[in-house]
Amino acid sequence: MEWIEIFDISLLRSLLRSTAPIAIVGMAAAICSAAGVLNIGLEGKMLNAAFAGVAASYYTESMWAGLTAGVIAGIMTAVLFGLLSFTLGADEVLAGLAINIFSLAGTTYLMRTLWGQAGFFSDPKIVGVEPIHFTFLEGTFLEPFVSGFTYSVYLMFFIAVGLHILYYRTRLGTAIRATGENPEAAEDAGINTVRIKWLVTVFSGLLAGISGLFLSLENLTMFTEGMSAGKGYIGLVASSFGNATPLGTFGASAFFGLGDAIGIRLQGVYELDSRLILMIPYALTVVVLILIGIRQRLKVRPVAIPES
Amino acid sequence: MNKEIAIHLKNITKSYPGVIANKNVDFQVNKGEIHALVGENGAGKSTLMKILYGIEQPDEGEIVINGSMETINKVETAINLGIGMVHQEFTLVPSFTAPENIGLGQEPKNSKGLVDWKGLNKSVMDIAEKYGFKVDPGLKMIDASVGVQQRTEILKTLYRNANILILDEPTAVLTPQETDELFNVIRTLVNEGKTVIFITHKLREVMEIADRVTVMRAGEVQGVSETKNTSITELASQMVGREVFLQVKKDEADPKDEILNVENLWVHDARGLLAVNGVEMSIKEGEIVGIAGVEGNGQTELVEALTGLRKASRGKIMYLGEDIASSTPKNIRRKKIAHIPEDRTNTGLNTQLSIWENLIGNSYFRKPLSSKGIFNLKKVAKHANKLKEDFDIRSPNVSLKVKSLSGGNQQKVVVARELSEDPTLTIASQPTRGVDIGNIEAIHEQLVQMRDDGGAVLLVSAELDEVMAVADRVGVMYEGQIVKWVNPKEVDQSQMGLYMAGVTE
Ligand SMILES: Nc1ncnc2c1ncn2[C@@H]1O[C@H](COP(=O)(O)OP(=O)(O)OP(=O)(O)O)[C@@H](O)[C@H]1O
Ligand SMILES: [Mg+2]
Repeated sequence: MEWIEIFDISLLRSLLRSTAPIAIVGMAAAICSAAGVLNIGLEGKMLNAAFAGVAASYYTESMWAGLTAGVIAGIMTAVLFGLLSFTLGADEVLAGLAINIFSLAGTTYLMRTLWGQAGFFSDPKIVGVEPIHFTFLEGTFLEPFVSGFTYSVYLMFFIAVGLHILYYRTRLGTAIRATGENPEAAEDAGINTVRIKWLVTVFSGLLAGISGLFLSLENLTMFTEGMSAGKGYIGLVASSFGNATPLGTFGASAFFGLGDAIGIRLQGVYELDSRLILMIPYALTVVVLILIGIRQRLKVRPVAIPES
Repeated sequence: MNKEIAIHLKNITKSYPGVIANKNVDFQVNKGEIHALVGENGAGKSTLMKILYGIEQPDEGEIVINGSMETINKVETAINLGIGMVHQEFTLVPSFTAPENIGLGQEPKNSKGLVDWKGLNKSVMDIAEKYGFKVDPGLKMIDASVGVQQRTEILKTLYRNANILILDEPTAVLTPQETDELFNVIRTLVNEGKTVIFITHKLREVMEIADRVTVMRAGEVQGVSETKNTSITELASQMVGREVFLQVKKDEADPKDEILNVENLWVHDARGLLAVNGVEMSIKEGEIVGIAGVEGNGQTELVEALTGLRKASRGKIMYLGEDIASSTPKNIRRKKIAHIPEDRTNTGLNTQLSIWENLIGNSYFRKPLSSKGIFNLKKVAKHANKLKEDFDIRSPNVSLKVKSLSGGNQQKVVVARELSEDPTLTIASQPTRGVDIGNIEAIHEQLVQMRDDGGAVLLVSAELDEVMAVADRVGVMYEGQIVKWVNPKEVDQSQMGLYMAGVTE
């Protein structure tokens, strides 16, 4: 097989599918970081949403119940993050980490106690999301490009464009960017920065929820322990590579998606070890991190010393 | 003329842990007047204004605006009441342009609910024109000079229809020319019927522009006077509570060996433009060399090159016979060169850290403050508290964040740290910016003391008075070169003005 044959329509389709969960959670990270919220708890939000989606779908045998439950779980996790960070004043990094650890343990525990399953849970009663076929495109040249994806693949474009408009064409978006860059200036302009931070946090919960549902109800119809597998973190890297802008983050996510898609393809062509393929997104993350450097601003606090 | 009262703050008390910032303060401003508010560092001026602007809440007291009693518990309320404030430390979003900053939170919307950027630009330009400002609508604040940033801040209040403008130390960062421009703006504003509250440490400015002046000391109002019935000396002693010598007392310099010799120094600025081209300079022990000049003529880059913060493109910086032009800031500091940087918040301090941590920034590694990498906290505390005493840093204790200090007290932390390690060469850039008269006197005395103890001092200041009073020799910087060396005793202000404009003969 020739190298060039790797690049065809099915690669593009695979690229879009791989990009969707990263781009959606990446944009959740982007809007948080634009408002100055370092939200590393996205991983946990995805996982909880993925789990809640599968659970609700399994018990009600309804896809809509699954989706609704997933989104609510994502938002609830975000609210927990907000309570820890903004209301109780915990360090954002620690709050995010706590949420990730708690979500991994919590979902694993529930899966084992509710269904007696370890590792993964799959059941015919779980109703997944079907791909959307545009009948009016049937037979046209566009069909292989745009038809037959699940909703998230379409949604990510709307989210990217919508967020771009929000960022640069609305008062709210300007307020969000001002809050992230100089909260004192924002406050001085009468913007309630705490409210802005809550708003982006809750919204990031919604997006992370959608991204988590993609994993458990769209791509597959099952729940696996820790199935978010670092996607939340990859989203953070994509957002930081894209300077926390919606389109930049989208582009960076597509880069990760491409790596993923090529990996899957190579596997088919060269029969590479699947573990090598699974490593690709993480290896790319390291590459990207090296490219951008770690831009983590540590919050420093004064330390008290004994009075003399 | 019957004077209406625009603002009446009644019996305001506000305390922070360990300090009473305002104590039963009564403060009245008439409509249409320029009212100056003066007082020592930490006297409570900014606090009082923050209470009026809704940033801080008083523990006690009432606020009456245009005759009606108001509770101002958030900035929005103050804005709606027509109050605007330009803070001592600017509050601008660096990556936003002037119009974006001015309209922040109040951007006009079009019929689709989206921000109408064109409309915003237009109204900003209209207001700017009305008050005679120049605005470049595409310039991001990160690239703008302090003067431009300040005008943006003022426009921000005007865009919000402020009728009462609070300017907290607006001239501290301005050049004399920019100050004149600002005063013209203030006069225009007052002619348009606005009321201006103006905080400053420069009493000459009070006499020049204000109608009335309120003096505060230690959180209390000392008195209110009409400027035409008072004098600088009177205000100064009211502020400090003792007589202040407005003249620097020093003997004739007795220069000895050469400490620093700068040969044909060239430096490029952050944008890659040539900022210093061919500076020659020598400093001997036992003398204070001053650099005067309008800001932006390469002084910043010169000092950055001398202190290792910026690489020189060409030339030599010989310090005690050794070229330090390509040395690092740390190595330069270890050679006993102290640096008081012009920008205290970004370069001089970590405002999130405590006072003591900032105070030992240049000495934490030495005995007895630490040994084998471990602090001796008792010794550190002793050292920090001694500096706090010696330099009169007003704060209940040294464990507080530097951020909680008043502006002038933050500056004193920098000065204390830098002068404490017995430097051979002290490079002081705007060392008294934001500092009150009493402490300016103290800092000047300390610089002279450094000199008399055999140290060398380079003093760079935009305050012509300061350079002329403190330095023994003054170089005038213009377009990256030192165009003239003068003996400050032998030239007058107008002559210096000409040199600073590049006219040397
Ligand atoms: N957020 C805060 N926390 C604790 N103390 C504070 C805080 N803000 C101000 N203070 C204290 O209140 C007092 C008054 O400070 P304020 O900033 O009003 O002084 P100021 O008159 O404006 O001085 P300057 O001329 O130096 O600007 C100071 O002792 C200061 O340390
Ligand atoms: Mg102040």
